[in-house]
Amino acid sequence: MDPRVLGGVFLGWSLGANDAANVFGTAVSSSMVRYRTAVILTAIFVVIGALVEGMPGIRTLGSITPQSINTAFFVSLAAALTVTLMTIAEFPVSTSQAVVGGILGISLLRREIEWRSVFKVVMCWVGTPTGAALISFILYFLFSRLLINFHLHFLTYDRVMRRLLIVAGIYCAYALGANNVANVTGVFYRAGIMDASTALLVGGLSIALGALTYSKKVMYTVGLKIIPLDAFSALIAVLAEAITVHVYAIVGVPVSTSQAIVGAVVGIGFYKGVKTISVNTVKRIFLAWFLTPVVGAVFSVILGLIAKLRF
Amino acid sequence: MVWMIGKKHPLRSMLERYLKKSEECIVNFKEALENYFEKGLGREFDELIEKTHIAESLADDIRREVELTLYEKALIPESRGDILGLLESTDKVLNKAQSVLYQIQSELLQLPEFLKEDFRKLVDINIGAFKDVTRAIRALFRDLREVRDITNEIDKRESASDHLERELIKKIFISELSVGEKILLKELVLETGNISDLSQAVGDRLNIITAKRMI
Repeated sequence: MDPRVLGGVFLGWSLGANDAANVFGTAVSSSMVRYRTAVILTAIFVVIGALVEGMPGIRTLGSITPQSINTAFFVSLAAALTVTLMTIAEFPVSTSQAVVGGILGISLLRREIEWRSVFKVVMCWVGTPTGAALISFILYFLFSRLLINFHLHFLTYDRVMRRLLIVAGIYCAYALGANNVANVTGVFYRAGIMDASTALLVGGLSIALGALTYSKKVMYTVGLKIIPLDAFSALIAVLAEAITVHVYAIVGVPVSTSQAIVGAVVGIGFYKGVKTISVNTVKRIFLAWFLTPVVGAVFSVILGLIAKLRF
Repeated sequence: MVWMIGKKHPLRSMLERYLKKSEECIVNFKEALENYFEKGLGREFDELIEKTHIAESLADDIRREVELTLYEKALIPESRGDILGLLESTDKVLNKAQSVLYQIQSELLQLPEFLKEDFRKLVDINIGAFKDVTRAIRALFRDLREVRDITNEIDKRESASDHLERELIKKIFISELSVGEKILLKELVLETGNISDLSQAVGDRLNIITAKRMI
């Protein structure tokens, strides 16, 4: 395999290390689920999700512009640099936006852009937090009514919540793998250096590796920042995030799990009539929403120009 | 659904042991006061105080055992905090009952005949409030919907206790007793009434615990 694929693997690793927090972060940071259990489940189901439903996303990213092995490498590198820079600046960064930004940068240099694909992707970015908010609002309404009919007592409620949190986490890991694998190896598939199954497997495994090796710190810090809510709200937030990300995996557009969970928490806040996220956090999310693809595009343009590629 | 709910939780039997021991403590408290009403201060009263103290200490031991189990058997943090808070507030009721007996013993209080009937009623109301607490806690582990009805009964008993406390204090201060005796007896009435106040605090906590799970 071409060593330049390692750029994608590195990106997948950082994605896994960061986004595992959006899957089991709340459950682990509040000791509802053990870290070990959480990362093992995340790793397994990310790979399964990637293999089973990762292809539509890979097709979409591939349709924006043609790739060569060099441009694919630069897209991955530009995305990795963007994620690093935005993380240092403490912005809630989306790897999907960074990758698409990188692809757009290369497309601009090539002057070959499939605008319909770009439009589809951007529309889905808008739909991620808003969709997650709507889904969590509806889920909260439905589940609270459903749960009340079971007449659970204190200890069974506790058990049911814990187990449902694990089930929701597993589903979310599956959705993460299915949705985000395209970010990792989509460009390499488009460049023709990987067949579909290799792209899905390598992408899924890279994300799983990140979750297994380097997600602990992020999980504890980000997990606590996300939801200072009760177990039921945490469950609804993760479930809404998973459904949102899964829907976009089916549509074939990689989106951000961070934006999905923030949207989900806002939706719960609307339902309960309380403010769950500060205005400052929302401002930073919006800023990152615009900045991430722009920075990704700038990096890939710079890398392309430095390498003096022949477009 | 069985895989979701699982087997009977070990915590449940421990909590049942705690509740039984708490009830034993409050029964001993009642016996001690009955003995005091009939025979006044004496060796029998002291022995019953000791019996109450032993039951309270054993309930304390079980409470600590439960606290350890809460961490070992890992309930979700929300439930853990709820149980810890619930047991601590229940323990305060038992401590109060015990301190009422110590107050009588250490201050060598003599209860005048004209107060005995009302004081008996006051004790019964307050013991009833605590018994409702144990009923409500049991309901928490059986059916959450029952909890609210029982805590409403605790509220009613607390109001009745407040009313009777005021009546008793009035009777004390109208009487010919010395000022010192009046003050000591007033304190005894208020301390006894605190049992239902603290029971009501447990009831409030139970209502919050239930409301959180009834979404």
